[in-house]
Parts: sequence; C-alpha cells; structure tokens
Amino acid sequence: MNLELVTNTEVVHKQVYCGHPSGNNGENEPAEITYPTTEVVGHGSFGVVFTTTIKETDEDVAIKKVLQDRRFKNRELEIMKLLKHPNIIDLKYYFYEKDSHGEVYLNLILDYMPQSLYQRLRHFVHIPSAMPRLEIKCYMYQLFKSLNYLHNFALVCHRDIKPQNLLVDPNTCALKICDFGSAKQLKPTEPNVSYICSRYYRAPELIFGATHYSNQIDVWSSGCVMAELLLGQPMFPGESGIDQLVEIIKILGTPSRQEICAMNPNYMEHKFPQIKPIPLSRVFKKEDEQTVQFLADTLKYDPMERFNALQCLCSSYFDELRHAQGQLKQIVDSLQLLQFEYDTELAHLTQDQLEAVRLKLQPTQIR
Amino acid sequence: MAPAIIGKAHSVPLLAAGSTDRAAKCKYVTKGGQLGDGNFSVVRECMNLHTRDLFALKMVHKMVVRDKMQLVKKELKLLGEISARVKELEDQKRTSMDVFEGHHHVLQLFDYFETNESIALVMQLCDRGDLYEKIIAEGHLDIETQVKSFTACLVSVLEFLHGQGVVHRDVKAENVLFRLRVNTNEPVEFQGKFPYDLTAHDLILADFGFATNINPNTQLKEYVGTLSYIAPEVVRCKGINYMSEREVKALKPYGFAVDIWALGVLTYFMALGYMPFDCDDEDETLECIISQDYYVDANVEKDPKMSEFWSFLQMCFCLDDRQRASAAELKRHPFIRDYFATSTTLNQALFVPHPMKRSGSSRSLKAPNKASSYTNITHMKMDPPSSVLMTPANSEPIVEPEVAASRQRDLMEVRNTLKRTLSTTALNRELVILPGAIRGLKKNSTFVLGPQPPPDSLMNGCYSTSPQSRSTLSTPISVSRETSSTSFKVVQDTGKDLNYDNDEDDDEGIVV
Repeated sequence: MNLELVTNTEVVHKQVYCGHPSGNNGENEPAEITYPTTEVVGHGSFGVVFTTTIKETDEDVAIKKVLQDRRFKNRELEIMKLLKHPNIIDLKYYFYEKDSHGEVYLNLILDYMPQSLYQRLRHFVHIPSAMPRLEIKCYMYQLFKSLNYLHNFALVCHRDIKPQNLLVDPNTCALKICDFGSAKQLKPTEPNVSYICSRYYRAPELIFGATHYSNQIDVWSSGCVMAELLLGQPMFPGESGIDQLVEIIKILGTPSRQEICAMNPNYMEHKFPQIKPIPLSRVFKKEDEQTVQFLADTLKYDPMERFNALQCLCSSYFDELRHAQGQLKQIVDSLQLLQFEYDTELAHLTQDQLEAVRLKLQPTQIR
Repeated sequence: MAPAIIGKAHSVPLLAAGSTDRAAKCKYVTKGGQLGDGNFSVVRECMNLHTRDLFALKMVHKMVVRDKMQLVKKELKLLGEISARVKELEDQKRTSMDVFEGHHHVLQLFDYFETNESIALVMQLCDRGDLYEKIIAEGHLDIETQVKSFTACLVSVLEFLHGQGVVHRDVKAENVLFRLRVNTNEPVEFQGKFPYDLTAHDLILADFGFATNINPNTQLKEYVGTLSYIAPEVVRCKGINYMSEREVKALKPYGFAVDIWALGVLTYFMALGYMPFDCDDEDETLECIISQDYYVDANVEKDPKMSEFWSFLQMCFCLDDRQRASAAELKRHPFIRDYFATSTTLNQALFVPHPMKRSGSSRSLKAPNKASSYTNITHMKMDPPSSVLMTPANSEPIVEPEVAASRQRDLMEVRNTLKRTLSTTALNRELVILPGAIRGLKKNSTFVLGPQPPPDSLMNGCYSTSPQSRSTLSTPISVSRETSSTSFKVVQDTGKDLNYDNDEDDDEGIVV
C-alpha cells in the first residue's frame, strides 16, 4: 500500500468522478478535488478507511480504499451510485488508483460519520450501563427507514446488516448504513449465494442454505442488532452455523414444518426434537410490551411472516417517536424522521395502503 | 508385540508387519546436520528421492524408547490423524473469519517408516528455530506486535486441536517452531490498527509425544508435561503410582484445560522473559502452581499497557479447570480479540478482574533452562466409562432446573440432527466472505499443505534400510518428478495402517 500517503500531511489533488452524475455528462462525470492526506483511521470490511476534508466544499469525508479483488464480484460502486437517502452513506466521488505492484484500488469518497453502532454499544458496555432505550429506538427507526428505501425503491438487499456497518452520530442520533460490499439486487427467479452476512446476524433461512431468499434477511439481521443493543451482547452467538441455529432454536423453539418449508423446502423431511420456545418477554424482562412484540415480529422463522421494513416502521414500538414532545421532538424533527418522500419511499403502495400507512407514519402532519 | 525374531530388541519390527530381512530400500536421504534433538530422537533434514521435497526426518532410536514404544506409536497415530484432518479441511476450502487458521499451525506428518535402529517420522520442515530460542535471544518479546499475535495464533491451534478431541499436554516455548517463510505474497501490514510481527504466521506447534485423544471414556490422570508449564490439576496427579486404588479413583481426571494453563505460562514467558511459577526447587514450584501464586512484577503490574495481559493470564491461570476459559472463549478476550472475527461477542465474564495475588515465595527471575519434558509417565488403567464433564455447564437461568436437563438433551439432539442434515456445502462456504481487514492479513499466511505424495514415494510404516546421508541436498529444481528414477520402487509389503490393539498396549505399562 501507498505508505507515503499515510505519513505526510501533504495535500492531494485528484481527478475524480462524481458519485451521482448530474445529467448531461453521462456516466462518469469528472470533478477535481483537493484534500490533505491523513492517517488511516479504520479498517472497514474490504479495505482501509481514512478521513479528511475536501478543501473545495469543506465537507468531512471518509475515503474507503478497496482492493479490486477479481475473485469476488464487487457491486459496491454500481449500487452506491444508485443510492441517495438520508440514512444511507452517500457516495460523493470515486476514483481508481494503482499501487506499485499493479494492484488496482477503488477509492470511494463517502459521508463522514464519527463512529459505528458497534463502537457506540461497546462504549456503554464498557461503562457499564445500558444504552438509552430512546437512542436505540431512534437508530432502529432510521435503520428500517433506510431498509424500506433499499428494498422497495432501489430493490437492493444489503446482506450484511450488523452493528459495525451502521454508522451513527451520538450527538444527533443520526444513523446511516454503510458498506455495500455484499449488497445485491435480488431477483426472485435467480438463486443467490447463501454464504453472505456476518455470523450472529444471519437469518435462519441462510443458515439452512437457502438460495432463494429475499430482502427479509436484512430484517432478521436488524432484529438481531436491536436485541444486541438491548442485551449488550449478541442474541444468537455461535461459532458455526449449527451453533447459531441451536441458539436460535433455544429461544424461538423448533421451527414448525411450515416454517422449515418457508426457509428451505429441502429440509422438510428431517425431524427435529421439539424444543419449546422461551417467550421473548422472559429474555427481555425489562423491556415494555411493544418492544418485545416488535422483536417478535422481526425475529420470525418464516420470512413472509416476518415484518417487512415498512411494517416495522408502522409498528407501535415507534409511536413514541411520532408523538414526541420536547427534546425528543427536536431530535425527531432535526432528523426529519417523519418526512417521507413519496417517490422513493412509498411509491410501491396502492392508494389504500398509502392512506393507511400515511395515517400511521405521519399522524401529526397536517395535510 | 511381535515375537522377537532376532535376539536384539531394537531390531524387532515394531510398526511393520513384514520381517527385517525384507527391508525396503529407503526413499529418503538425509543431510548431515542435526536440526534438533528431542528426548529420544534426532531430527535431520531429509529429501524424498521421488518427489525431491525436503522434510524434517525425526529418527527415534528404538533402543532408547524400547519400553515407550507405545508412546511413539501414539504420536504417530495422532500426527497421522491430525495431518489427515488438515488435508480434509484444506480440500473443503474452509476458512474461518480469524487471522490465523488453527490447522495451519500444527506439524504435518508426511510419511513414516522403520529401520533396524529407528522409527523415522517424515515431517514438515521447520528449520527456523523455536520460540524458546527467540525469547532468550530477544530477552522478551514485544507485547503489542509479538506476544499478542503469537498468543492469538496458539489459541487458534488449541481451538483446532481441542475441537478434534486432542489435548497436547506439552505446550511450551520449545515445542513452538518456526517454519520457513515460503509465502510469495507481499506481506500485508496492518496499517494503524494493530501492526504485528509477521512471523506469527510461521508458528508451528510440534511434538505430539504427550498428546492424546479425549473421549467420554478417557480419564486422564497421568503426571506428564513440563514442570514449569503443568496445570494444578496435573500437579495433583503427582505420585499417582504410589496412590491407593481409592485415592486414584478420587482423583479428578483433567482435560483440555491443561493446555490453556500452559498457554498462560507461555504467554507470560513471551512477554516477560522469565517463568511465572518457577522457584528455586521443584517442590516450591509445584506449591506455587497449586496456589496460583505467580510472580507479578510491581512495575509491570502498574503498566496500563499490560492490563489486558494480566487479565488474559487470569483467565488461563484459573485454578478450577472447569471454570478455566476454553480456547474459543479466550478468542474473545480483549488481549487478542483483534485477531478474531468472533470479537463481537461481549462476554461479560471476561472483564471481571480478579484480585491479583502477591507472591511471597522467593523466585528465580532468570530465564529458564531449556526444559525437557517432565517424563514422569505413568500408564493408567482406564476406569469404567463415567461422565467426564468437559464442557462448562451452560448457565441458562431462564428455564426451570427440572426442565433444563431434558431440554439440554433435546438441544443436543437438535444440534446433532442439524449437523447431520445441514448441507455441508452451505455451511462450509458460509464464511468465504471475510471482513476485509482479516482477509488481507490472511494473505500473510505461510501455510503450505504438505505435498500430495505420489503413491510410490511413501513408505507407510514399512521396514526399510537406513536412509543414506548426503552432504548436500541442493537438488536442482529441474530434476522433475516425472524423470525421477523408478529404481526405488518398493514392494510395499505392509501398507498396513497403524492399528493398535489396546490390550496389547496396556500390558507394557511405562513407568519411569
């Protein structure tokens, strides 16, 4: 790797492409930016990340340098170019770079966010104290808002939702999803690899080896993230897929025939001993009814029964945000949590559905 | 044992079924210089004449081990099984999310045969010295760049071995070797976050002389290991030969946790350059071990950079072997967590600090002598199978105790069913996408799977002539495998696998 770049605080001029080309210039709209080089701050999935400030626009950015690995199809750039949502890390510019060994690196210039949800949780575990329940609620809301956009407008499945890939700003409670290195536009007719998604957050249908899974795997992962924020540790830990599945069965009980069929029909013939589920209210003793019910709706074996992202947003768990007062209201307003853009977030609904959803999601908005 | 055809004990074929007069011509030539010597053996560099591959040849003198033959056989069998497992794992292309693959760091057995004087083990060549020499040469190792990565690597190895049901029982600096760096990849330094010594990828855990399988029927009560490294539960087995039947019965068998204790000792030795429990005499040392009384240097104790180190040691030096962390649990410890993708698990128990004990006994804070294994080996009769609880009890207070037992059984059954039925391809490939950081580091691996031998280049335990010695082994690479002469073709009169009869083994109890 380019070491000089890391050690000196020299200023770099770069010919780059815009992340979201505007109109006439076609696919690759060129631009020129200047920024001081800084130290590597982190190692995201698939590459190093450093932060700097673009001189021209005074934007704080993170530059993610990814080795173009020919063995894996990296759809990250294509997908990032597509996406524009307040709760998704924005691709500002990108450029390619070759190192002295002839390896090609893709550099993605992205929104800067101070930390990951993983780091945020670690902070609380370290103190030790519980993460504020309202903060969790704000993050989860934004997560499902971005998933709704991803799944229903961009038609992209993230496939690696985990605390490390959710960037947050604790001061504003803002959350943005990052790392689209595993993301893909799923087509119902085409099989997909099942070996995606990080351990602990893998939906049961993935562990069962399903290749025709849906966007709903992201909802399961999100449920696991929420459970982890509440518990301070992963809900379904396990070194192997088998162990993770055992952990899941320990809590949710043995899946029924119907549920197994919904996950992967190939496993229908196998008989499992019946394990009784442990009610989630006993796992999450301190949480209120709505929270527990919401977890139950996201952690369902059957992907079709599992709430989709929009259903999650409509859950009464989030009512507190919609009827917020005082300081919480300021946060809700500043993050524009109740703003929905019809074209990108609600256009997939029928007129009737739209009415009902609007009533639920924007109860206080005067139309 | 096979009947003695020739009067001299050492020429009785011990492995091979064939008789000595049909000795095959050896397919290996050795180089003069010794690479090292173990307790009962010499190690030389050698070359397989068919494949031209270089190996380490461990020649175990039959005279020396005459009455411990069974141990050599056991080592052979274990090494063979482990090597087969390594191959299997490589064939399945399984990769973990961790920086180090445990099975990449155990010594691989390539071949073995028997001559008039010796049993010969053909193993992976590790000629870059051992960890003991490195620590002594450098005084102590650097905590950030070396101790952490080396420990992480060894934890991976132990996790692999224990997962295979194998306990090593002699983890120590002298048994950790460095292999030749044959990595052609450019080293990937981990910029910023945790720079580490790349030789961590060259570590090899060797010497399986005391290693053994643990299954529900094993009751390990032998007093084996190396004095400075033995765990308290092993110390309690001292003098087992002189104990009454009842006392022996009352003795708790030990398990995988002895390796964890030894790993703690080794980690301590790496970091500080002296041993934690060593006192001036043996009894005092043993006393310190069973009272968990390890030397804590006041300055090192206060060093904030070392707090994770001490906390890691406390995990390893847990007196109760059932409470002691397993290798899998140690992976989550902050001390080495960076090297493992499992790091997201926040195990609260790992952060509970134990009050540090202060040593009152006099210590010799000099580097230890190169230890030779404590060879007080006893051979215990197997007790009737009784439940050996190796796994820590699962503390799940959510379920009522009376229901818990049957639930636990059912869960085990679920697990087994899943294990049987889950498509192996789905599970094996699940971890292909690694976090980038770790994936980059994996390129630093110097692991090479032992070469796949052509069928006629193996001796497989057959009886053979002694290998010839050649002063130089610098064979030009141009000598291709195809052209290598066929005149060495050997009638494989054995081909038999190591097949042990336990009854036979039990007869020759080994007492030193």
